[in-house]
Amino acid sequence: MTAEDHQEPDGSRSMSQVDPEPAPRAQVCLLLEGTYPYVAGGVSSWVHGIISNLPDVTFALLHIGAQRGGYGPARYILPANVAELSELYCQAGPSSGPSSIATREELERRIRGLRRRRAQAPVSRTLVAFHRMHLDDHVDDALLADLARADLSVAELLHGDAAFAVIRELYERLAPDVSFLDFFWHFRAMHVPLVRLLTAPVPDADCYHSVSTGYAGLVGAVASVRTCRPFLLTEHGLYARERDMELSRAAWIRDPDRGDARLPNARPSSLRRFWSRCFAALSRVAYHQARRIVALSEVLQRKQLAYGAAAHKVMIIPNGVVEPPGGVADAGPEQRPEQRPEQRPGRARPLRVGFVGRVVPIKDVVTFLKACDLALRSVDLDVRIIGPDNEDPYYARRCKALVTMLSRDREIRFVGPQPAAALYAELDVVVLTSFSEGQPLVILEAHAAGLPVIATDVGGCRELLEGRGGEDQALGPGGRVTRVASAAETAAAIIELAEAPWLRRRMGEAGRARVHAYYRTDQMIDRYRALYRATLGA
Amino acid sequence: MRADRRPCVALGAAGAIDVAAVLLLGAQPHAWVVLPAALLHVAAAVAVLRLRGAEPTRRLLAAAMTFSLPLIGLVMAMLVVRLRGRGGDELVARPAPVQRSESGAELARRLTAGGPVCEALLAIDAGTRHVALASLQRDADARAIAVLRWSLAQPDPDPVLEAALALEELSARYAERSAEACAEAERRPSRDSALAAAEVVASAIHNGLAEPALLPAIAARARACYGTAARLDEQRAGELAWARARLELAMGDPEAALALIEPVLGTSACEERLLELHRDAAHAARRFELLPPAEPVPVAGPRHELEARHERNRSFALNPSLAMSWSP
Repeated sequence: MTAEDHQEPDGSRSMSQVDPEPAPRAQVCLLLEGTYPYVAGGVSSWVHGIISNLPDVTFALLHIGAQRGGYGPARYILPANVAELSELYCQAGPSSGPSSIATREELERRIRGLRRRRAQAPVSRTLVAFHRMHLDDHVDDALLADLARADLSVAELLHGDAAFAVIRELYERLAPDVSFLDFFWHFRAMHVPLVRLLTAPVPDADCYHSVSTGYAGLVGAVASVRTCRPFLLTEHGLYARERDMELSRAAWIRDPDRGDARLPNARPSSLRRFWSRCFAALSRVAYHQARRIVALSEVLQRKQLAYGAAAHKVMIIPNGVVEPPGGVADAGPEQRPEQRPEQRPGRARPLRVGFVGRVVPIKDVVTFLKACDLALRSVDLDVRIIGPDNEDPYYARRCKALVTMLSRDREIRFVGPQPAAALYAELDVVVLTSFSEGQPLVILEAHAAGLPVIATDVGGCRELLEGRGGEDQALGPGGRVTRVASAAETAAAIIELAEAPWLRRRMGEAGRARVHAYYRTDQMIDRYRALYRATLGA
Repeated sequence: MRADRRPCVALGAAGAIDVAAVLLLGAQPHAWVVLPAALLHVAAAVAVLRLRGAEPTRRLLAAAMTFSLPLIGLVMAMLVVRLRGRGGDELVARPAPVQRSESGAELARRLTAGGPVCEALLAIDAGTRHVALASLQRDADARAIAVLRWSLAQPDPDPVLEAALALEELSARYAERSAEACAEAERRPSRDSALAAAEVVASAIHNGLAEPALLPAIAARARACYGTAARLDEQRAGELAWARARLELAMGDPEAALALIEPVLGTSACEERLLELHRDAAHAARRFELLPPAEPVPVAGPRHELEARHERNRSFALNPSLAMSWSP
């Protein structure tokens, strides 16, 4: 359950267990929720890039997951400057309840003893903090100090009279329209992970850096208060908003009976609001304690401010990529794909369109396939979906069935993951139809390779394609921005680029120039090095 | 598991104290004896109250019984302490909720509490938007999908994204249901399973969920399922006419719809909706000669004339060829 549980023979071990010597105190403790090193993706790539490119900084990693055993083997080889990898899980494994009367009586006796002791002891400050978080939007140092006390155990939360009194009060004030039993179990499900995380040990480090708000942000903020060491926050997406969207469709929250099913509800379910407020409160806690709050793009920064981040703390450090040495990007225009012999006018070759990413619903591959089908009615295309399709096998099957249904098996191919170096040399245009993105590395990599990109207007995509204003915008568009889930707009953009090689060339050059000017890995690393120096020095 | 003997020992001790009190009372007929006997009785009750190994509520009940009824109360206390229930799921089972009928005023209030769904979808408050979206996803009919598609074209990116995710979820749900229904129809071939598969597959055409590019493929699959259903029970093939014709009409082929309806007109059990579909198909095919003459504005006249006119209209509906020979 905690970093101290590594001796448990359950198959999962941390890196610190491998090394018998105690790990030296790291300079930076990275707090990672459900990502690196067990999950591949944009955030994990970013984390790996930061650690690998700052070899002079020692890192401790704290991976926060839902449940032990829920993740496969590590997807990355940890760089040498990682001093420690610890794991922390929100949920305990399944436990068998008290099975016999004797055990039950023993449990009841212990609970009675606990209640007696608690009746004499002062009320837990952590419980008071939970109470405040739900009823008051304001976050201050006192709230953080109460959370950092961690004077509430899971047993006290589950069986204590004070906890029950808090549940009753919150129920009456926040959700009197739902069943008390429902509220009771939701309260438990919401707070048991918080108590576990608050009472768990965190690696010792000179500074704490969380890659999201939420649980990781809470652990980082509290560790910062306890140790009086600085806390940094980098957000790739807006955690509270993403949870909010999930909660609005969550089937595990029962809406109150509407009486007549034909009538609409005027307000969202109290339980959904209860959860939503909890995640918003966790974000505010992290924002309050963070010394600096980093966003990848202006769009995200605006949202952070709307969610309660202080304006004097926010800053933008965009993603960065390594420009390919001597590759397509460095090749002169005469050597680029459009100018290669097989592409000269008279020897028509289909436009090579690539979707680079995981085949998962959030990437909206279905819209990409529909767009390609529409475009194929006007122009000749060679479409490739490049990326792993094992993360959501059902969705991948659905996408492949769609290709078959459209009778496009010849033109559209799923080619699986490809080595990044060779990937972009085989493409003319990259398309990204995601529902949600932070600042996608795919766009930067494609631009670095001199390729135009068609992307949906989500996250920082528009900034990457059209520039952030002034000199950046003067470089010209690096591709086309389309509406979310609009197969027709995406198809129109593909057709436009297929019919105008000069436009592809111009956009590819603009994208390459933009990456060179603003989105290089060395720039990003320099900024983080400076941020760490300033933070640690202070 | 070994039974816990502690309650028995304590109850035995309490019994002994109570018996001593009764004996004392019987042996010494003096007034002063009442006090020690009463004290002994209270001691017995206290002994029961301090029983170990029993829940507090049981202890309280047992002590009350011991105190209220000397000697007999102890036997009852023993029963209270020793008897165990069996968990009794039926005790904790929630009774069916009582549905309270709404008054007209309540109904009107609820109907007018929420604004139009399009307004709710574009609301600044995310909660309001999410409620509207959840409602549309639950309905998932042609109107709901049309509204979701409408919100995709709005300028604010947040509602657009939410509507796109809602449509994606509906599409995923449809893909799953149609795959399951088709698999079931293959696993257990029968008229009903084939018909169910056809209905599920065709639903995306009727509610507008299917993209135009996919319509021919989906329709072909639905036709194949209807065909299988008709083959597996040829006696009842006519009953499928309405569903097949509706599909053809939705696919923009009213002639095919008419060809499916006309042979079964007047023979099918669901005559009303078949006639309605026939009218729609005739309109769509511009085969106005198949339509019954428009109902004239009723004028005051002899009752038998109105009845005759009504009968004539009904005949046209049942046999469109009559309409060709009709003259006003």
